Amino acid sequence: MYDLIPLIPLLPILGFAFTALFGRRLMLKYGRTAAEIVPVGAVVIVWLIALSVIGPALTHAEPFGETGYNVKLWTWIPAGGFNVDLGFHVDALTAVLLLVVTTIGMLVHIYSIGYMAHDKATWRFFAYLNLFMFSMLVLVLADNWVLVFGGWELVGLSSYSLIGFWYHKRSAALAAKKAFIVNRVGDVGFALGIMAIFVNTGTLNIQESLKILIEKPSAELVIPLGIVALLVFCGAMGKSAQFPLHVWLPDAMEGPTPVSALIHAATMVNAGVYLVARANPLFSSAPEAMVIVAGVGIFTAILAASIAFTQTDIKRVLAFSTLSQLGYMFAALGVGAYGAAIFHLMSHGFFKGLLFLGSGSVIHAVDGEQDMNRMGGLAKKIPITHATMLIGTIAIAGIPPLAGFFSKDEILGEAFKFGFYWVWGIGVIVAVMTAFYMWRLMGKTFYGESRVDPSVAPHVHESAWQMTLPLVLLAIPSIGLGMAVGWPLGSGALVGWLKPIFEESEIILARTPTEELFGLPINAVLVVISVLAALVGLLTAVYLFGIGRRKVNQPRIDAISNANGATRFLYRASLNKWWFDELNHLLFIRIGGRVAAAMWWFDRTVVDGTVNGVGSVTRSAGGGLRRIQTGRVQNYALGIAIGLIVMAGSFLVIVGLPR
Amino acid sequence: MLSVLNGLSQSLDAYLILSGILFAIGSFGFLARRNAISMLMSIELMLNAVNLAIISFGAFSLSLKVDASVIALIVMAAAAAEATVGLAIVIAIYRNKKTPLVDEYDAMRQ
Amino acid sequence: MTLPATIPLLGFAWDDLLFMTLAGIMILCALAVVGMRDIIRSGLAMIICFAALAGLYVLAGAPVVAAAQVLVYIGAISVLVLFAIMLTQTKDAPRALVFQTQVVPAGIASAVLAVLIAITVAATDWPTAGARLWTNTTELAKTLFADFTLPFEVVSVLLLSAVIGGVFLAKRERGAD
Repeated sequence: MYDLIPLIPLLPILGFAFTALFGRRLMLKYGRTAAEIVPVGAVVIVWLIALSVIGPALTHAEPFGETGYNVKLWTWIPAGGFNVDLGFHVDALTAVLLLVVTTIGMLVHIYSIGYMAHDKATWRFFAYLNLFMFSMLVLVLADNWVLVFGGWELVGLSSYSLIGFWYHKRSAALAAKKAFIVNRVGDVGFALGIMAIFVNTGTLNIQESLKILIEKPSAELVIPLGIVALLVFCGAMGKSAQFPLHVWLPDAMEGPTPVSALIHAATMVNAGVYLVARANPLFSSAPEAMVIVAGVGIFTAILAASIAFTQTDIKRVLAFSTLSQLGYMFAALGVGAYGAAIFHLMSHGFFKGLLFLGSGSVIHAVDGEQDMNRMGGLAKKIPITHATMLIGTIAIAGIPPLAGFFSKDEILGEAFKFGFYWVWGIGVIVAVMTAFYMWRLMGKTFYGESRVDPSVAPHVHESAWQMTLPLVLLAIPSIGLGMAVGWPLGSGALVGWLKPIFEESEIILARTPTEELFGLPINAVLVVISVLAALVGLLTAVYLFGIGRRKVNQPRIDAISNANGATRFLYRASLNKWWFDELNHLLFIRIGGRVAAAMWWFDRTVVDGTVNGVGSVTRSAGGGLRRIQTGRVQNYALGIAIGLIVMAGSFLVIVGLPR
Repeated sequence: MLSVLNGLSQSLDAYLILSGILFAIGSFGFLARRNAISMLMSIELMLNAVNLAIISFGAFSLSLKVDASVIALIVMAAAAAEATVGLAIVIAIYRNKKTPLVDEYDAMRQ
Repeated sequence: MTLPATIPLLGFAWDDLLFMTLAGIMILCALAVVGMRDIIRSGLAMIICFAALAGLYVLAGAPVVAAAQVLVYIGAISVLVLFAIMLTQTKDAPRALVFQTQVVPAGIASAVLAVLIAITVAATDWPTAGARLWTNTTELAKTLFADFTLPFEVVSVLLLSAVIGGVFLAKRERGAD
């Protein structure tokens, strides 16, 4: 049965190849269903195979055990002491990621059948989606760093192709380029990190290298652990869009919505979290790097949440929300709560995927409009979308007993228990903000009076079953996942499953969590605080943006947005995303442009001058020599004959006659 | 008086020098003739000169005795192949250029 | 009747006379090949040159090679060359210049080449068996078909591919002209 593991990445790449080669012809000849059946079918089969692997892998059944199961296919690059295997490693952590990637991937494929039903190049879309599935699965399954890096770059590539799927739209093409380039910055760090690991350990196998890294005395390491950890974290920052490499993710929303749901909310952006969790012994051995991870994470969380306050594009709100939630995950990784981070990754994958697909359904309903100021009052017209998005919102806001409550609370709880009070404090504020901006999104989209374009309003309709079915299916884990694997808090089933993965870290960190606070069980106190925080945010938003038929409290909103002083500054900062794009523009376009211009001058005069000088000398010499190139065979043959005579003659003269 | 010529056919040097003369004549033809077919014939002459040298070595060396004949036969076969292809090329070029004169073939110059 | 060991008056062996006659014919014909204005005469001279060479092979004790020389060169290649001449002959060809502009340097180069070879040959002390050896045909057959089986087969493949290539090259393309 477990021989099927290689099929998990193999089927999507075959689907990609098939669809890329024959998809267009199939679509033109037999309609879009013919082109869709192979890629979607491949992913559904992959999902089934993955399910058969996930169960035993999570529960440490044979042959997985606690350490995981290795499938070595062949040696990819054998070069003396440098060996790269093509092999897969499946343990509980892999299984969690497999569950998220294949399930959401499968649902997004089905959803896309409906969402892309009017597109001219559906086959291309599905080909890219399959390529993405392949890359992501390789990244998750790989048992060595080089293969991880390969998957890492391939997800970047497929993300690029999918963001720029509507390449004739200039903003989409630019956004794709931005995502690719910003990711590249992080990838350089990751590549250097891999090299550093190899230099330190002499192996590229993930498990082996981590073992050596933590067992070797630090004096024997060529490159200090802290630097290795930070380099790896660099890659994670790029892929998971953490400050300051977060600028690409909001722009990535130019891609089709299913892509935003799959890649930019549920799977690819989690790769960074996965990477850090996978390398957890490395990070645990480098406490200074851990603090940086936690700081970057929680800072991104509050920064992105503050920007989400004022955005009016429905997908951008969700994009900033994703940034913010990813920040939570990194904060969890930074405080050493790896299990909590993976738990949040999982639950966030489901409810954010749900929210994105729901927003896609909304956009589909109002004929491509993404501005929330031109929505409103849609709750009755698209009831399934409304209901499922409501579930997603409550889940992300952290109201028990939905999934988000459990995972978020576990992060905040562990941060507090391990003594990171600042992480906990900012985290609680972010929880308030999350609940607020999410309800703002709900209120502006579904409640109050309709602001939909009058020409579109009569056509507003619920989406096809291919689109609503994934919504309903995703709502189920959004509700029940937390109760199923996260209860009781801090010692749920998931914690047990992941325990062997993070055991080394537990030993290295050797922390004893605080168990009581003011004489009360700490869990209870913290739960009450987070639930209160969520409720405060939610109720404020309900007061401002309405619920049901209740109208939006416009005068109050205007009063806030037109206020003076600090509020005004904050409002404008949020609206302008804290001017990061402008800062980048100044740094890299204006100042960088000056530097580049200077370089260009140098290149043109000095470098080109030299090159052109050499060129013209060669040219004139060639012009002279050209005369002897008559193009006649016999002239050349005479040359050969003379050469022969000269050589034979000089041989005779130099060596002398033999006698 | 003419007795210096005595034993000429018994001397390896005589055969080899003869072969060298034949080779030089062939090379002159190859370098100087304008007609492509003449050039090919000159090549045949050079090949024959080489064959003559091989046979002579075989005639005067015990260890090469049989091998020399074998090598000469193989050279002959290769020469036949060369002639076939060479003449076919000449005919093909002639069809395009309408002339057998090599100095008007200047495609290598362009 | 038996011939005297040496030729009367001239004072050297019959073999030597034969050698000189054949060598003379060969060199004269070779010069004719490269020097004749009319290319058909060149071709005919080449045939005689090859025939003389065959005789020299016999004199050098290689009768099988001589036979092959007659078959391959006189029988096949010469005919091929004559056909090629026929196919490419133009009316003005005989009247056109026979030699290239580089005829003088070519002549000098060839002469120097001949002298170089002669000097080298004369100066080298060849380890010879002393007398001519006669190659036994049976012996040759055994060597050719036992020790040299692989080269023999390779040569047959070479010939086959040359035949195919020749046909392909010389074939008039359909639709051309």
